Amino acid sequence: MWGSRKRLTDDINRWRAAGWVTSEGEEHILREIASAKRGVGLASVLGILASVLLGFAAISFVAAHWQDMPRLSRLALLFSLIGGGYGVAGLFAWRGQRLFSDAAILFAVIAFGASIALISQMFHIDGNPPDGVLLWMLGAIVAGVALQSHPALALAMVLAALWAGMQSGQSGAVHWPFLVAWTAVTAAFVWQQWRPGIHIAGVALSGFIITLGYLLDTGYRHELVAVTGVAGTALAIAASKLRPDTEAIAAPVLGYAIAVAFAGMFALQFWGFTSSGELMFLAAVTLAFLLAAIWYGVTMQHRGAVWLGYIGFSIEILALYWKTVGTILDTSLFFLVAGLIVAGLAFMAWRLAMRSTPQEVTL
Amino acid sequence: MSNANLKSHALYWAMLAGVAVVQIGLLVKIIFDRQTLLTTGREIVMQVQPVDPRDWLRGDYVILGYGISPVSMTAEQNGAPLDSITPGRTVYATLHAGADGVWTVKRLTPAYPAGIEPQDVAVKGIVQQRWRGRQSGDNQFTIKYGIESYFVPEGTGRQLESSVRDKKIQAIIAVGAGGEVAIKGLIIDGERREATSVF
Repeated sequence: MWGSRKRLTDDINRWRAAGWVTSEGEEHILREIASAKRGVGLASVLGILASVLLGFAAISFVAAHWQDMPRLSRLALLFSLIGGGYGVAGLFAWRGQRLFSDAAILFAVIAFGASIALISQMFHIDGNPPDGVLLWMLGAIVAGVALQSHPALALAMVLAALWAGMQSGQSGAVHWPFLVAWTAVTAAFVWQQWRPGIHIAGVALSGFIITLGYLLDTGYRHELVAVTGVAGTALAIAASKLRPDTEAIAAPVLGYAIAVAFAGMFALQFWGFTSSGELMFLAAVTLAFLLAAIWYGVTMQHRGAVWLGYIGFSIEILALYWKTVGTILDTSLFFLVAGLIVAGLAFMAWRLAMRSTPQEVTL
Repeated sequence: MSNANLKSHALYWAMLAGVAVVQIGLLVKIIFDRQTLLTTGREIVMQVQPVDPRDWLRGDYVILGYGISPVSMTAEQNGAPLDSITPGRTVYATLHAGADGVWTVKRLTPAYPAGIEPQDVAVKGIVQQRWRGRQSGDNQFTIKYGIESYFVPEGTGRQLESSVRDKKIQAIIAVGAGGEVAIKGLIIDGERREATSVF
């Protein structure tokens, strides 16, 4: 059964309405579907890994026998690897094993990428390697969208990042077309409502924004990164307050925005030349931001924000210690002030918690 | 199996076939373009120096060093400003063959040059590096044309390198109407080595 789960749910709804299944039966069926979806996690992971390994095996085989084979047979072999992958995907889908069908699609997309490399070799093409990656990415997007294949789309996002990285490595400048590729793949993730995809998109975009700080202008525009991150944080919070139905996207966005903001603030404090006054100011802002993230995370039950806040807080404190070491008196003063502030906040949080849940107070 | 299910299976098969056709079609287009360039492009022969054989997933390859890759140029010599010739950008190098048959770069332009002499040829490349030369106004460029890798059978990269160390080695380059270039083959000590056409 590879049709959408939603359609099946709708069908069952209709069947119950028509009196073909009892409402108790409907409940059982829905539970069965939900558990089937969860139980195959390991099988799908192994299937994907197997297809990656098989892809490599096939490609090395072709590469090893390269010179012994006439050119036309080499091409025929490459094309049949791609076609074969999609054929096997169709057979698995026919038998209702959508997960293995996805793995076979991934194999075909890998074979497509390897074919680009091997054809380049055949014709001594090495014009611009990122162009090859771009073509591969386009092929992966076509497969991911047309066949609704999540692994193919995930690979497309990885390739988009690789493409931008290679282009930026060559030119030393920001590769803006990445945003076009990112938008296309992310739109496909959202359209297919694939949660891990939202996270893959979040990681890719965060990485891109953070590198802006190092690539724009003089290579030191981290304040833009920090501001973007804080703005993203505010937007995500506003979205989840005003439009709770966007929570599925707003929640992960919040986590990535916090990480981006912290990365920008961190680079501002520690990668450049800052006077000790500037450093103190920036450190205070950073710590306040991280504490706010932890507070928001705790009160709104957003575990990601809590963890990012804790991790960021620890990194910040360690980095401050390294940066200010030497003037031990300053360091000591700073930690004293920071410690008092946090202790004060802890007390306030405790009072707040007391007030909101008075029934638990049994002192 | 329900009728709707059969229908969606048929649709899925059609989608699979469509994706396979698109991907294989893209590959065929690369091959076709390259083959067209090799057979219809203008043929020029350039002295090369094989350097440092490497191997990778794609097999062994020899890096060919060209005399036209490092370019030294002032805006005056170029007859136009060089401001837009920066790393990562596409550049067109107008080549001129001297009496000794050695090709040198005459001009660098950001677009395909208009009105080139019939004996000259324009080739497309990407600027890798740019720095200031010793003389005032002089600029040094490193340009990659995409003809720097020559793939050889596995394990023969070093052999080729050592066998040609003292010999004369030339690359046969096909140049298309838009400046795109491709390696047709090598001439080692006057002996022409060239792959046959796919078709």
